[in-house]
Amino acid sequence: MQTMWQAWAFFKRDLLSDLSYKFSFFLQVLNIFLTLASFYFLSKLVGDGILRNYAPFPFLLIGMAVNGYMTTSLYCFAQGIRGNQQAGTLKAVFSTPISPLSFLLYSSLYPMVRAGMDAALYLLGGVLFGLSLANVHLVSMLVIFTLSVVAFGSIGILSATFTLVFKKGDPLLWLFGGLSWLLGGVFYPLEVLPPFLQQAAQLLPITHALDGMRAAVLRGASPAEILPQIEILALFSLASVPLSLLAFVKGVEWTRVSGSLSHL
Amino acid sequence: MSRFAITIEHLTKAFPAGNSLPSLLLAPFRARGTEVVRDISLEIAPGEVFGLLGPNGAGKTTLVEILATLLLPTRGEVRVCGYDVVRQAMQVRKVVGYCPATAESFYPRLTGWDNLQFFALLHGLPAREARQKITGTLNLVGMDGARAVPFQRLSQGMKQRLALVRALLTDPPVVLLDEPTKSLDPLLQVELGQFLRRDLAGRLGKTIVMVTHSLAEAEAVCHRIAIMNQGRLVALGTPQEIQKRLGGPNLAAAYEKALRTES
Repeated sequence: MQTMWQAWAFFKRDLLSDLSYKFSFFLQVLNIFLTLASFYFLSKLVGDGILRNYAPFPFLLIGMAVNGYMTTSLYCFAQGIRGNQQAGTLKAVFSTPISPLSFLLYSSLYPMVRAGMDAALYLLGGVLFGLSLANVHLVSMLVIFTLSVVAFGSIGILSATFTLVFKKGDPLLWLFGGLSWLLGGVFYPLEVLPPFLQQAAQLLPITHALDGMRAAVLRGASPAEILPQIEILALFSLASVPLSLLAFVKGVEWTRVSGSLSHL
Repeated sequence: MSRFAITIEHLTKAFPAGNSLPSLLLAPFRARGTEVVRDISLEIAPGEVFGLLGPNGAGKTTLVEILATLLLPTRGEVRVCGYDVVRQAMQVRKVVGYCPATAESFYPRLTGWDNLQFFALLHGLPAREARQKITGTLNLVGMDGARAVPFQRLSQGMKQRLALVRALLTDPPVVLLDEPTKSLDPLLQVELGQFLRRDLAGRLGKTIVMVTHSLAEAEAVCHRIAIMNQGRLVALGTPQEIQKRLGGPNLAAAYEKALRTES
């Protein structure tokens, strides 16, 4: 029961903070539609069927949606820490009976829900521009969404540890985000990259998240058809989640040794 | 079970020299820096108001933050209500209310009420109980006006008192206050001092540890005081005992003497 109230406390806090910036909230929604419109017209420049047999606009749309929730999963943990550092609330929060891992998990609840809503907005906006969702395989889509959020989130937790210990924005996010943007296949198929970069792209979870999501949403692929993507994302999560959680717990312990919890 | 609310035995706290990546990787938990608390031992009884005095950098806040489980001791043992601050940190947090030195420890865009509700829920209070506790504690401290105002619009004094309300929300037996009156006007300082001594400690039986720079406040509010200097305990007792032991016409003179003798 205590867990539920703690989770609700974080969700409500972030919701109220977000709603207090009403105009910004509206602009974010508007931005999604403007981006969609831009990509819709840009996609007219590209011939049908050359992007891995997907029409250009749906290909780009799924790229944007996945990139959107990847960015949130990567940044929300570090932003949660940084926001508390700047508000001066970390000491007050850590003097309550909440474990570091609960703090981390609950801090991500609202951003994750927002990211899911944004992804849904991309899809709904896409429908306005002619996207067909008739083929969507809902189970496949949810499996890929969940696994990729966990995989990206584990990198986000490592980044939060970096922020907790070193206080500044970290090179890990910069590197991971940049490489995903460049090599993941958000805007173009991997085939346009040189072979060695195509191989490097296989190491990034976004590559497999995009493959799986495009197949699930645009082709209606079943979980069995996208099993390779599911396996890779699950393996990546299995390896990276325990590592990142351990790093975070050690990071919190370090702040209790060094007295740097409230340092900026 | 100890008859003391707080026991501290041979407590030493040292901070590592640096926070650089090489030092973290090579020796992550080795403390090689300055000792800011040195071999302190003391006990604090239930219902006692205990004052920590000393110049800046004496180690007062460090000591309070160890009691609040925000810092790990380097050596020694610290127990709050019988719970060890290292091995039973979660239990300690359930019995301690903590008011940090800076009042800027709330979410600026949330109202006083929403901020307090957030911290009440973190303590695991169900929403209905949280509402009752917040209403009761706001009334107790005379802060009802802060409930609907965003934190960032409150005056420094209101912010300070809101932090005190938060520390009292769960009705903890031990309350740790780091300079709780520093942003208050003189009249409010006196009122708050009376409230701490008469109501919280006297009537409700809470153990209060407060850091203060005001000798007059310490003399008026605290049952006993500890004077710290460079991490060491240089005097301990009631204000009268300290004055008598060190000599001088008043507590200020005794305080000065304690610091000069030590350094």
